[in-house]
Amino acid sequence: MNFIYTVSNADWGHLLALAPLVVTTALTMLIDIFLPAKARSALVAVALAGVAGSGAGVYMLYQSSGNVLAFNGMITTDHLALFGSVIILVTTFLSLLIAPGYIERQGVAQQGEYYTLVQLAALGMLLLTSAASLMTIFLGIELLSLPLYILCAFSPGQTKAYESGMKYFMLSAFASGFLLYGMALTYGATGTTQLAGIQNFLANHQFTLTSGFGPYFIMGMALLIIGLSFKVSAIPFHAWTPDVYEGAPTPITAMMASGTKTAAFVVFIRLFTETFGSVTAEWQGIIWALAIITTIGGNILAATQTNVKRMLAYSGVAHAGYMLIGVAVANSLGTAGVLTYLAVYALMNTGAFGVLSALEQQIDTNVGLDDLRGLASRSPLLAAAMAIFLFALAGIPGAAGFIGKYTVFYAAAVSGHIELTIIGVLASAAGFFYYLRVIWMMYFVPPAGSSAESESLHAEIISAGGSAAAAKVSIATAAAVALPVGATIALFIAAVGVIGFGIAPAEIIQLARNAAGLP
Amino acid sequence: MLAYTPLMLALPLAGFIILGAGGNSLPKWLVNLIGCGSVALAFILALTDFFAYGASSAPYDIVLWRWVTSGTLEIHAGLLVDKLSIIMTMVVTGVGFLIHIYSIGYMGEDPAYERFFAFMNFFITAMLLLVLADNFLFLLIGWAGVGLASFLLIGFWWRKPSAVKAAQKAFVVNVIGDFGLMIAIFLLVGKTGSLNFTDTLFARAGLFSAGDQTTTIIAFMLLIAAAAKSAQLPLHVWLPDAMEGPTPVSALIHAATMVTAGVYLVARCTAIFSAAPYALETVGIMGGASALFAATAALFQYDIKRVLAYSTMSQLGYMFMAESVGANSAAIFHLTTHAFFKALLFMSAGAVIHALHGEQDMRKMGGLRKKLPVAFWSFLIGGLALAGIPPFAGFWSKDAILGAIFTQAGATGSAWEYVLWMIGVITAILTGLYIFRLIFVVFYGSYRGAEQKSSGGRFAIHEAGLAMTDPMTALLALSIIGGFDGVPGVDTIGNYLQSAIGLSPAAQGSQLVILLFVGVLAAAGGIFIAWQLYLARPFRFTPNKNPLYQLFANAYYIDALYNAVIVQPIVQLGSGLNTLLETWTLDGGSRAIAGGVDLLSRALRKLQSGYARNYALSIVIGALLIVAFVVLNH
Amino acid sequence: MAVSLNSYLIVSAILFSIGVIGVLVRRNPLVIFMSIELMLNAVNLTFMAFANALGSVDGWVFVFISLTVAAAEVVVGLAIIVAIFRTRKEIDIDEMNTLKG
Repeated sequence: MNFIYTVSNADWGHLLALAPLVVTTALTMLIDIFLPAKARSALVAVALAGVAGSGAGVYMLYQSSGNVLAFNGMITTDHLALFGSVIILVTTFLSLLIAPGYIERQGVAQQGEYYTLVQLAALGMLLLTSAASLMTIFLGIELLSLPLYILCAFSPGQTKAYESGMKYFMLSAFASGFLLYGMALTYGATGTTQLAGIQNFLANHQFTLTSGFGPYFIMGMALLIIGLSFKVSAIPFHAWTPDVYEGAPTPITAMMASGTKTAAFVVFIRLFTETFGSVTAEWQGIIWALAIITTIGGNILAATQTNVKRMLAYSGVAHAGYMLIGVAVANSLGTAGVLTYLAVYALMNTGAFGVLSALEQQIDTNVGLDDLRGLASRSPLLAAAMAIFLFALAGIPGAAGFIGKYTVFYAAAVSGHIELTIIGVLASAAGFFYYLRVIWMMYFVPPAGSSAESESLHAEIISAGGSAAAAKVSIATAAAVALPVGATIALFIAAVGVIGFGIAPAEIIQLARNAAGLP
Repeated sequence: MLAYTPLMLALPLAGFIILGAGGNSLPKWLVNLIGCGSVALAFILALTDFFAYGASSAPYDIVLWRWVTSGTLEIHAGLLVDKLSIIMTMVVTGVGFLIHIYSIGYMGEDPAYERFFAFMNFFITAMLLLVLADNFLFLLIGWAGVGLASFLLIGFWWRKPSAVKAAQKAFVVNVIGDFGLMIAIFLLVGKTGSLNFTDTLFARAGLFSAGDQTTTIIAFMLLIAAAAKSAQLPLHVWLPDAMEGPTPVSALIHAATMVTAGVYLVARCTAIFSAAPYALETVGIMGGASALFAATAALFQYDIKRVLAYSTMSQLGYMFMAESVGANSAAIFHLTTHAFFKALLFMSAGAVIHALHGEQDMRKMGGLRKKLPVAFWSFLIGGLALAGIPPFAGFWSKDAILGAIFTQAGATGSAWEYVLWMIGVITAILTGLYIFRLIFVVFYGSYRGAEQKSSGGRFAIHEAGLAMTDPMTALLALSIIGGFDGVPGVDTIGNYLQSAIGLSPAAQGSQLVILLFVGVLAAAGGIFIAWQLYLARPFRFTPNKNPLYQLFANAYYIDALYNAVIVQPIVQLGSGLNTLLETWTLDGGSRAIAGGVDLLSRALRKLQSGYARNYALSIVIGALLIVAFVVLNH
Repeated sequence: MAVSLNSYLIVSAILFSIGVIGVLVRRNPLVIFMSIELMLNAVNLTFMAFANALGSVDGWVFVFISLTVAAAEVVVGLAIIVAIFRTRKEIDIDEMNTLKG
């Protein structure tokens, strides 16, 4: 039994994308001690600088050539990892921009902890995308999950937030058990925890179910699928998603929804499409079925939701389904499709949650469909931004979301899985309706308490004994939504990105193809 | 000059953005200027394209930017100018411009005036994108865009619940069409590896070979898309309801342009359809059935706009019938003339409705000939053109279609095609009947509306303003002369379109003369019946019970006999089919689907119980299923 | 007599299943965490068994990582439980179902 572990100087260079965030995370904690309570919102600048620094690190890694594996095959900085990292950094950046206004209103005193945890979660996601060994995958998943458990429960004194954190923690730890078991069995079957080693082993050994390493491997693979499906919220492992999303602070929901999904899908691709590429037949059917169930189920579940945050959560499930189609295709084209989808999804989804977080500053509870009534006349720009994001999420041809769907469905169509294309197109056509319903509410239904309706409403309130609070709510709903500077910038970036991707997606598709190893 | 074509799209798009973003702070004249001016300039650009392209036959491809890449396949955001798209753009922008002008008058009082123009400009942009796209993906964007515009404009008066319902219905059916088109696109890319028209439709021979299964499926998927967009059986249910929208919308979207997108699609995809004989035959069956069914349905409507809606569906059926026998240019010819006279009819109907303050029920009209002369003459000319009376526009184009079908039937000896021709002739009779029923009931006799009598002339019936009558006059002229470019033997438009979509079969010599004669006879016969039924005797909706009077009034019951033997069976058939299709199969079906999804969604959400342990259980169940799968997979 | 690899694996599979069932049937979050710990430790046993059988050190390293992570997880979990306990004074996982639908 020998153990060789060597670290070369060059290895440290591969941490360029992680290092800035590590530094600013430490800095955030340090500065937090010395800052007076009122100045703590300045900490967001430190966090943003860290994200920007990591972005620069990703760019430098992208420019450099040579060996992508580092630390004895624990970490890789290939284009797949870098592509995923960029998406995660953009999502984190936008989520951080939205945060100050939101947490100020929520009365969060521990801003230092908040920003520290956000950066740690981002670090976990980055580590996950760069993971080249089962160990780093496990570490990455835990590093991103642990801060998120706390962040979900972050709104002080709110039962919903605690419930959200508790549920996420319990179920995620439970799913982690399956994942870890899967890793153990895979390790037992192949004798190594490094993905390159596993890939090599599988390529050189004939797989049989009943003999040798076969039983261990097949069970391990199944358990890995379970663990990862939980993270991407594929049905039937999705149940935590709406509850956790609803209870968590909205900027965190935004970050989880696309950041975690991106990291988990990168691992999905790395583990299955790449590492298990030579035994495709063993796992393709499972992902195929998961993709179909998730695509259809997510849309059905979203169809009758009136709580917009939950609707977006279920729509996130449906989007995971579309992306799983790209994984089920099991080739580089599918990978390119998933990556394109993730890039587009990060912008449109974070944007939509950003609008919700702006609205929540006005209403105390979660945003319901009724709260969006007449938003277009109250806050035309906010409504326009929401409309852009929703059209994109719906995948109306011409919007950015359509590009994501197109690349995935295209991959399925040319790889001989036209049935997945048809199901995907059908589900997304059916999905138009619940997104359009929100737009309809914003543009075509007058705000509660406005002109014609206000009189009858007031009369009603007075005759009903006059609940002053109810009257106040209706008037507050009718007022314009004040938008903090950070959120404005975030929504602007997201909207411009979404429109840009819709109009000229060629570059992003090309980058995704390169990341998937295609010309 | 062709290089300026992108401006044609950019101008209405700019109009949409300006009016949509800041329209409510602009003065009205500026809204008018932007809304109508952008379309006017687009029309000028379409005209310059027409002259610049000239007699050329090579499609002129304008690459705007690299759009979607997939390895070697590059799809550009690109526009394609050929003779088909030139004709389409001229119709869209020309008729579109006139309807924009008309809207200034018609929508003048509406509080959301600028939003209306914003949506109309958006529609023009999307429609131009649809007809100018140089690849299927770009076409799809236009396709979905016009559907969206249609949805927004049908539901424009969203305070009316019926308008909202109609908008939703239209959207549902449109999405079915979009679904068909998307599937066709993905099948196409799977089969040919490309989506550019130049690589697929205009490409090497033998790319689509007859009898190839995939080609047939693609063609059928395209057919679903075309049927949904062009309101053909069995996806027609949304069009009559779409009349809930403002009348200019009905004229522009649901008569002249958007509903013809299906006809355009089939003509554009000739290469695919000609390799899929079953699909092409289905186009004919669908077109013929729709033409006949809609014409019978139009006979019994009381809502003036619903008559025109069914008429549109019927005329679109003609176009599909033409396309099924390979007479694409005849179909496009009819598309253009139909755009003229149907837009005219809708505008006149709008003028009537406007004058009567929103009344659409023919039973409450009558005797309007003197009070609304412009509307009357427009209706008369439009009606004559629709019925197919020479020398008006519709006569030439309808004759071109019937001639093509008959000639093709003679050439192939196909009994089915003779049947198709018969259907065309019968529909022509019915067309004359229903449109002149409308004209006689609305403009002749005495006024039956209660409003004027009770309020003592306070709501005096008045002719519309110049903004409305001027475009009507222009279309009136076009309805008279618009068919001369397709006079048999000369067939300027057919020859013009030959390089793009092929030459239509056409009748020659004595056969031509006979066919022309049959066409006129059918139209005149229809009008004669209408005259007998609705004008030759005082028209009333409450029958007199005196037996002697009844005998005379009913012209010795010959009318009744006609009615019992010819009209009633068709009524029964028409309304029966209508009930069957609308109430049971389609409406019921779509309601069942919607209700089913709703129920399922609520049921599944019950599973989302909020109990974390249940969620853990669902994870375990999923895990067991996956483990079972991998074990049983062998 | 040497204990075979499969014996270890069967024991750890049984332990893992007991953990899973514990999560499903118990209502006290503390007990649920213990069950999850049982699952993780069952996996650790698997790692050790494989490491021993394969003569590879990776499994041992993995066990260290997993133990550390489990410890961190417990810290976070207990923190959340304490936070909830301070507002509600009782802990029952089934009482937490305001988020649903």
